[in-house]
Amino acid sequence: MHYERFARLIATGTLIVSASWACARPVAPVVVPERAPQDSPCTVAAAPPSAPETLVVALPPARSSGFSAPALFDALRFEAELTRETLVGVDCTGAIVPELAESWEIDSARNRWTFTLKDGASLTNGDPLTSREVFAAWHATDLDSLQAAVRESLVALDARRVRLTLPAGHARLLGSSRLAVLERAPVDVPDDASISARVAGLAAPRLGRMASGAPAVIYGAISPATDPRDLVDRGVDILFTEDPAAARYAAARSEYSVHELPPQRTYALAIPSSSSRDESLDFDLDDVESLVRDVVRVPARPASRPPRWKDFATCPMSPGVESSAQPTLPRVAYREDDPVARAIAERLVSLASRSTEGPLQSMVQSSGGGTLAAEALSPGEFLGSLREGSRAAFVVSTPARPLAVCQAFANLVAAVPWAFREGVRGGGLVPLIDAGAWAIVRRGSVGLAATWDGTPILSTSAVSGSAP
Amino acid sequence: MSFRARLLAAIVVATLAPLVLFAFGVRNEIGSRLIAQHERRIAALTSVIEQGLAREDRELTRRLATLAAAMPDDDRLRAGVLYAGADRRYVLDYAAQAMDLAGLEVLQIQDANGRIVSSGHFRNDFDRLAPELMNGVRAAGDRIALARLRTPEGPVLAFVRADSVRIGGQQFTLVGGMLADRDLLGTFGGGIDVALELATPNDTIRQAAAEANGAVVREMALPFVDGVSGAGASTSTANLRIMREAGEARALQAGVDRWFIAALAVVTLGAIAIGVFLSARLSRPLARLAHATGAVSLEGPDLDVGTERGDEIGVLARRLASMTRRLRAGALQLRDAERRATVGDIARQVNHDIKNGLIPIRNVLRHLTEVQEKSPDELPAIFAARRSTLESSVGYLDQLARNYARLTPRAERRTVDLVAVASEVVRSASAGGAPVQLRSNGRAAIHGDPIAVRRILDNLVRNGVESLTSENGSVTVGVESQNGRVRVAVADTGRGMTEEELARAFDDFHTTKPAGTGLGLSVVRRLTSDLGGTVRIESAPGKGTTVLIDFPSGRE
Repeated sequence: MHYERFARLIATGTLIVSASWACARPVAPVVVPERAPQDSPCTVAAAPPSAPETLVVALPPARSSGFSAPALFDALRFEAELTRETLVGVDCTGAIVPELAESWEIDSARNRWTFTLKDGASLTNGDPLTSREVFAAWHATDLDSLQAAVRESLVALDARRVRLTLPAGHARLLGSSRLAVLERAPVDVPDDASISARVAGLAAPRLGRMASGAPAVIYGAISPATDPRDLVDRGVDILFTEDPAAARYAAARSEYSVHELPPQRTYALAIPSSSSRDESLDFDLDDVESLVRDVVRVPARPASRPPRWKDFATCPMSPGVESSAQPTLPRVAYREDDPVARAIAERLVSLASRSTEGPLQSMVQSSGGGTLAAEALSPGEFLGSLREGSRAAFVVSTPARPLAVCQAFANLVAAVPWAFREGVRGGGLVPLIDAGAWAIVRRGSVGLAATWDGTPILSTSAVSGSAP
Repeated sequence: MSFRARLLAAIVVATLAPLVLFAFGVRNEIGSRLIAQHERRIAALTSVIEQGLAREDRELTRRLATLAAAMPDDDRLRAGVLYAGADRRYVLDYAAQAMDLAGLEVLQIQDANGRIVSSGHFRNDFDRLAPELMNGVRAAGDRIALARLRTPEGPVLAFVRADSVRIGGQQFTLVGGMLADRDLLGTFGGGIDVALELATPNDTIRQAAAEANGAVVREMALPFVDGVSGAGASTSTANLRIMREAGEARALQAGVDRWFIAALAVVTLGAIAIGVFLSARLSRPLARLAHATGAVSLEGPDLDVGTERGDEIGVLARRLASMTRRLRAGALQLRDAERRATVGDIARQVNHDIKNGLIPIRNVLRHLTEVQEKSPDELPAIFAARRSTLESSVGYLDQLARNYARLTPRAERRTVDLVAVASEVVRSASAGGAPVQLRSNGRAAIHGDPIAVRRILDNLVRNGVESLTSENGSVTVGVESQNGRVRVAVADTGRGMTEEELARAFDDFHTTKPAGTGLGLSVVRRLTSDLGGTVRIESAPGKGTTVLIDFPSGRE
């Protein structure tokens, strides 16, 4: 009895003391988050109990660059996640997770973050990782304006602690690979017969490593002449693909599991004639569902509402164009190298032919009337016409959940200036669907988790995420 | 118009007329044959096109039938169309794959209500109601139809057929076909000579080679279904026309005409060239003859216009030359006669004047003679008294001689080719049939009056010819140059002269001929003397006469 009373007293006292202590300090308590568990919402594929020594990862073929690069799987970001380490990461829920920094303190009043580097963190040569290396890494890379401002605010408190100022709402910026501290540069794949057989069909494969003690990762883009299903037949460990035929084939193979990755691109309809209204046009939800279900052949879901560019309120906006766009052709234009955009455009043309009113019909009337038709444009022509707003509508794609939100926003304003003028933010931009790719995983090889922007990270039971 | 121009015109006309007639005939014949061949080719191509269209129709029918036969065996398709939500994407993608496998370019699968279940040419046009298309194509029956279909990029025309299939008790209609574009029209046949034109109520499609205003050879009506205008659109008619290139026949004829004109131009130019050449060659001798005739001078050289020709022009030239020589000779004789007449007149005048001058001298002499006989003592006084009369008469005669000396014309003096002059004299004499020949050792020139030389030779040759007594006689004119002198020898084989005749040969008015003037040799001597030469005669009765004249050689 006395023991119980004494324990209760101690607990209460501790509680009171802790509460008093918390109220007395103006700064937030030290955050020591735990690693994301295996069954977290960010888990795409569960990690197996054991991992092979080497993993072979096949990436989708590279596509042309330019604004709104239409790739549904950003291979560069995957490689960055594989080879670079930042202070912290951002998981799919937006939560900050530790990487090179094991803990951090947040001064909300002054937007200051103080990071404590992981004890035992070392460079590739074995030297301990210190705040000096953080400084050096951030000053050796090109950053956008917001990232550069963060860099300028960086202060080394001691060998293991750094402090920086981060605008409110931009914590995810810290997960950008631009702010990587360590980079484990990939190397050429050794000339080994067994490896050569496994990487056949990959163009310029590179050898990377998830983390010390983790399996080696051989990754490369699928050669243009290679059928992705051939890689499945050869036993590739992971195949990231937008090809529905490959996904269908792998699903029929018992040794593989097919997973939909979180969407990396948002497809929207840009309608110049509606740009003066700072409100989204409403499309019939059934039509949007039909786009997801029947039209596009990649993993997709209806785009989140309200559109994400509404969230970029804190980002500076350039003036935009002085005059409004004047569409002259009743066309729904799309990039000729984007099959998802093409499918959406064709469906919209079909829907427009069935109705005499609605956003599609008003769009046609505003561009001079006539019969709406789909039009494929080269990337250069598409960007130029989009800036001018010369077509009735454009099918555009933007990053679905960018880490560097203001950079993504600036790109959007630059590409569609007539949608951002005189205080209008995204007038005439109608989000339709979010689209992504598949991950085809050989059972028992490796697990997958996703970051905030949908980039997959490899995980084993020993290693969760890319952090050691 | 000159003779040459008339000759040219005649030759050109004579050459061109038959050629042009022939060329026209050939042109017409070739043109008509080419046109006929072209017509036959058009007919054959038309047949090829009709067969091509029929073949396309059969192929479409066969492919759709094959597809319709295979569809019910596809379990995934069956599940997709019968059960909502099941394998929907497979159904939506089915028409595109089937279209490619069947070799079609358009394919649409519609349910009994006309709702599009799957579309190969417009994959995302699913669930749209389009009963007019399938009803319209079905209404065409066994005929191939032309349909206007939707695609994402806009309406297209296609030759289509329809077929039906039942899956799980539900009726589905397949509308499939090939795009009716220029490429397909080209596969039907045609080409350069004929082309296809497809005319619908909305548009006209032509093969690349077709002309907008070509002539229609055949026209076939096809059922036309507008699948774009929407519900309520009725089936109308489109026309497939086989067009003949309007310009092809014209081009053929134009080609023949071009060659005809080119050949005609070449022939004309050739005829003109030949005419010019021939007319020039034919008229040149006449022109030369005319020119030479115009230049004939009684004092100039003889007419020489190529008398070597053996044709009529040569005969004309030679006769003209002969006539000229005779005219010249006659003129010479006339001039001679005039001169003689003038000389006679002058002689009579001189005689008269001299007599007038001599009579007082004779009277004085008679008086003095009479005084000398009768009163010789008074002779000195009478002589003194009559001396002035004598001196006056002498002075009168002296003045008379000076006056008559002024009447002598100045002779032309230049280098004279004696051989040439002798040749002319011989030719002239021979033309009259006289047996005169020339002998010379080359060119011999003297300095003097060519007329005088000619007169000398004429006189001597005439004398020689007139002295011939038999038909075998001859006169030879010899000219030779040696040692700085030129000797002319006119020798005849006539009757010769006696010594008495020889002594008086150069006397004026001495003649042995009944009609002679007796001045010939005197003139020869005088003229020879004027030329600085000498003349002598060698003759004997019965042995002919040779007149030898020596001239000093003249430098050219």
